[in-house]
Amino acid sequence: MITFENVTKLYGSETVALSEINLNIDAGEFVSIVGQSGSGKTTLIRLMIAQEEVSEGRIEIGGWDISHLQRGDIPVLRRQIGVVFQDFKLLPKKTVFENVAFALEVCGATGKRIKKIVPQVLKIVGLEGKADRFPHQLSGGEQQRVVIARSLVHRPKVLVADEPTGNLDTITTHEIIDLLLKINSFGTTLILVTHDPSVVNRLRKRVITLDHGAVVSDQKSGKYTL
Amino acid sequence: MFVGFFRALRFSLQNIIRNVWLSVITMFLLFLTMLSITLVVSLNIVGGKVIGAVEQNVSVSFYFYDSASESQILEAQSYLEEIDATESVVYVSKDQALQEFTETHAEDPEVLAAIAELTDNVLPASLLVRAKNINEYQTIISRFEESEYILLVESTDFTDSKQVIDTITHTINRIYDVGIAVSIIFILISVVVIFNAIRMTIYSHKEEVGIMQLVGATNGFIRAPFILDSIIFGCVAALAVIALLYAGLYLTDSTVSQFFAGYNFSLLQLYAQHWVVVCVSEIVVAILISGVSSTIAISRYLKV
Repeated sequence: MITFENVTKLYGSETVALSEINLNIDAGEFVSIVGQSGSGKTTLIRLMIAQEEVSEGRIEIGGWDISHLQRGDIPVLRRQIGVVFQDFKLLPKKTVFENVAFALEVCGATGKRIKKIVPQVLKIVGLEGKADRFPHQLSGGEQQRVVIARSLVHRPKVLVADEPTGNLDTITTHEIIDLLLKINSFGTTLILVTHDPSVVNRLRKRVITLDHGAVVSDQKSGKYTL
Repeated sequence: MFVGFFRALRFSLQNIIRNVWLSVITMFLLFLTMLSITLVVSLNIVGGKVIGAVEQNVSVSFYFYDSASESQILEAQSYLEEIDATESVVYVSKDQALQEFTETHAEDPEVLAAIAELTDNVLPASLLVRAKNINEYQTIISRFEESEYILLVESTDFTDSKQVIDTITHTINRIYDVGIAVSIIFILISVVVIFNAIRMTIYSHKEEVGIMQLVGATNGFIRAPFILDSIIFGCVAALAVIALLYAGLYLTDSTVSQFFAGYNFSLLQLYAQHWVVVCVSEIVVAILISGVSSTIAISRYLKV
């Protein structure tokens, strides 16, 4: 599904963000990527959604080489990969429904399709009764659910969550992780970037550990070892 | 495609409404720019008509002694006609001159009475010469003065309209130069203001743009609302100028027509006949000014 072949990312000529990364992530897998700050976790994600270009090597997603995409192909890629960030990136003047619908509107979906899909994804994330609320009327966990709902509108094959629980309390964190597990159970490949040991240890899923831009461990059913 | 266009238009209108004062100021400045350009173009048209009207009335008349025979005058006419610079030569006989004089003063009984008192026709025969170009009258006069026919001429009447025309041309050119300078200043101000308006709109929509990129909106769709902003600015400014132009021309038409009395010239009529060209030109120029500055702002500040 997702393959990294000898991927290196350099910033300038001397700063090595990622070095010789080789990875294979199968379709439907739930993978946690852990590592300390500056270990290269976010760079790995940015390469996957074509926010950065590899310096060396190649990345394939579903057989598609995305290492050096044409500008016009980037939106096509991003509709196949849902992204959830730590900072919620919600539009404060739009309601929950409008925030989720926005992702479809800007991609040219018809009004009919929007009215059909948005309630579906809001139901998946458990916000079906809160469609008319504004972000400031929601808790942190609920705001993150809106972001997850928005990332699901294109029915992505891969969902990437970069520190999605970084701003949340323990209970809400568990709720969000449960939601991600639920989405994974539908067949979506899930890549979770986190530095929270409790999250990783509770999941008992595959754990890839990065350190100084290199993969230092890759365990099928691992724990947080740093 | 239509869904995308109307959605981009909706986002564009939201941009304008959210930054309503900035949008109003931008459109007002673009309006002033278009107005100054329109006035310069109109001035050029009116100036051309004024000069043309004055030029039409320029001629030189050679008045002959009564002793000159008609055949001699006709020979002089042939001589003048052979000069390259000559457009036309009209022979006005003594009788025609008297008839024209009587007609001209038909409403002046004292003059008519004085003419009636005279037993002989005192008005001389003449040749009325028009040149192809206003600058060539002096050549015609010089050539005629070099010929033997000058001995038959009692007087030459050449009102030096060239000086009048030069003065008008000079004045119009001065106004035209000032108009162009003002237009250039307005264009530059508009470009800067539109550039900043689009830049601020992009800045205030930074989050939306980020989300659009994240969820897979195409680069064209992300840029479209900002481009539409500039097109709307241009259209509104151009339509306001068109409305003001035609209203102004309608209200001043009688005054302008009076100024050109006898020349059958109406700026309103001219602009009404060419309304499509006027409207399209106004809109195209306004969008061009607005579009250029917004394109620079988009390419510089909207990283997609």
